[in-house]
Amino acid sequence: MDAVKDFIIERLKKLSNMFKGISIKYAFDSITEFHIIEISPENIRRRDDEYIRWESEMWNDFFAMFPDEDLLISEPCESNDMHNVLFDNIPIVDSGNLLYCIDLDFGEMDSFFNIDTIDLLAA
Amino acid sequence: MINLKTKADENYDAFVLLKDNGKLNSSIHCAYYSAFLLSIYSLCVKFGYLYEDIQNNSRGKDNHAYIRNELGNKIRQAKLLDCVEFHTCLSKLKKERKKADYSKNLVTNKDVVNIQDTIDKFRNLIITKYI
Repeated sequence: MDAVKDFIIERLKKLSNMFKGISIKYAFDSITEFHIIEISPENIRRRDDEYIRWESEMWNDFFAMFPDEDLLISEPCESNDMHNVLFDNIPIVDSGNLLYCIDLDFGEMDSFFNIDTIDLLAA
Repeated sequence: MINLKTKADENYDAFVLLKDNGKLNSSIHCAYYSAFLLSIYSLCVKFGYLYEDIQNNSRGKDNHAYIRNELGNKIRQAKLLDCVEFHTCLSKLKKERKKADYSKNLVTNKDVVNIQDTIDKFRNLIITKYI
């Protein structure tokens, strides 16, 4: 299970660096045993070719490497149980401008969270 | 082979009937199987797979994963956006089916509205472009 989570978090960290302003949340739903990744906004998720290429490779590589695991990559949805969050990327926006982005990796249990990157952009 | 399409359509109709009659928990199962059967049908009529070969190649494995991977790869070669929509829809349906069939939680009206949207999107993608 750790190998699966590590794989997903590594990919999500790369994704976070590819797109300023993208929102990413990853959780494991223990009832359905699904790894769930929620992505927004829609203008990246379904309209950006580079993102679509990333997602396509993610599906392909995940199922090739972990054939017995289940994955869902979707828009934020109330039907998804996101309580057991393992990775959270939070874009901080002020007056419509992206100020900075924080990646929270909840996989490290010795501290509550790690701030891996703080990208300060010109306000 | 048309029998697979008939079965897929019948499962879709059963989903709608159950949902409209308040049998929400049982309805999800039909929505998922409608998508699964339509996927096999697509592999056969659009991509030239033989049904017997699909059975033989997936014997002893998770045949749902086999169908998903085979069709996902074929659609990926055609259009990346369709590929990501295919996987997202099928995974949403599978997740909700597992929740409906195996968990103690009841399916809600909101869940069913999401599933209706998802199965309609899935069928529209496959029927208009991949059969």
